Amino acid sequence: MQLPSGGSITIIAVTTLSGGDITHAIPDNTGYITEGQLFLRNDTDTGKVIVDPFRSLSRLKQLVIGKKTREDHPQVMNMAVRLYSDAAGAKTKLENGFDLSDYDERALAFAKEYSDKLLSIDVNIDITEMLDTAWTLFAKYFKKSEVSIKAELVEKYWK
Amino acid sequence: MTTKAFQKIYTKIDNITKATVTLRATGVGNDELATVGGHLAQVVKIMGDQVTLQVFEGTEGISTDAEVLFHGVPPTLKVGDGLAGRFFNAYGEPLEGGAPVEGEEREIGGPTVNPFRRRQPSELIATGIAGIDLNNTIVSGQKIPFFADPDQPYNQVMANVALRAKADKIILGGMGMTNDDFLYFKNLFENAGVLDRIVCFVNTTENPPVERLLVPDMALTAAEYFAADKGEKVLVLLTDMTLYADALAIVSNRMDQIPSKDSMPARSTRILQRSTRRLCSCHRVVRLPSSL
Repeated sequence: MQLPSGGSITIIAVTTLSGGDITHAIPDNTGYITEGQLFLRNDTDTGKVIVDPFRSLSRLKQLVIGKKTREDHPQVMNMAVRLYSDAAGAKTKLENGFDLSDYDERALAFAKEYSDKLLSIDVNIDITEMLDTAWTLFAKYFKKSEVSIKAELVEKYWK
Repeated sequence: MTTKAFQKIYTKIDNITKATVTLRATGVGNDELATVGGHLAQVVKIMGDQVTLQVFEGTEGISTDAEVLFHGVPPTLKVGDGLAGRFFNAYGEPLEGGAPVEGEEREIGGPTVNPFRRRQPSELIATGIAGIDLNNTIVSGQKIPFFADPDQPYNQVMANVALRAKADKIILGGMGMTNDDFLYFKNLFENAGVLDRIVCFVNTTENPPVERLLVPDMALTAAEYFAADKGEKVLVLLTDMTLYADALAIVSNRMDQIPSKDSMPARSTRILQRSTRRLCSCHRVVRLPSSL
């Protein structure tokens, strides 16, 4: 809660899952009554623990991203997760014995570095550095046209 | 402990379960503390003149003619700047010896801050962890759970958040923490020189589980002092809510309530909600799914 005096109370509550089951009574109700959830998961590709971008959500982030943080935050955040998701799709193709396109290969490589440099819990950098890292990764693996971010932001921040 | 002049002592317990005793008594308040056969206990249910108490250490060794003495007050915490840098048990008593904290005594189960005084949160709390700050930015005033499998390093993550988060005070509430984890937190905070920003309420695996139930309210009472009275940005870290809920189940199941889903009592969500009323401070009445 945020108080008129300027003080505030923010609460992060760990809830361990039995067998990863979020439909169990305890996590089910904790998730219901609070403003989002953060999930830890082992990333088998990097061998590190990450904050899972697909299952985690902060319901209040839109109040501050791009407003209290740099203007490119929302679009960079979404694009990186989109690319990470494309890579997950590529991984499924690979596992099912399909051929991978060039885009797929690059997405997989991006995903591994994104997970290692940004999603891992041992990464300790400030938000501006996080955004610049993301831009560096975009430039390393993709063309400007493959990254659907507003042109003026691309002009300003593409590495 | 203050005793009133004509305090009644009850010596007939009607029912004893693993963690609770029930007896007939009058003039008793909800959450009130009591001593049962020398053991600290707390009122959890009043039905007419039937009063049920949860005994923090469990009821082993308590007989039906044990003395029950009501304290006339619920659990309290003395709040003051002296809380900073100290470690306390679930009762708010200093863990390392040292003088008790001086300050205003407040009921830990007291009324929450008036909802109409609250503002829409709009400052961010940077944790230094990209998976949070980049993708799931946390806003000051937010309440968010951290789900993890038991074998993941969630306490390390919490410890790092405690070190890096831009907050004036960090209140750590440990419930069912291993001694190793407790020492880990303590050493980390001491070595980083941030101890003066931190207040810890700890219930470890060596303490009785039912005591855990006091920890969130203790932590939040301290948090409210720093946030409301001193205008500070406070981050509360609670670990592990599953162990808290387990303790609730020990007490509630033994109150002869029919367990429903996953052996959690049907009223557990309401109990969880009541106990975490401060946690869901931004929500009014929540309709709970009937499957519970």
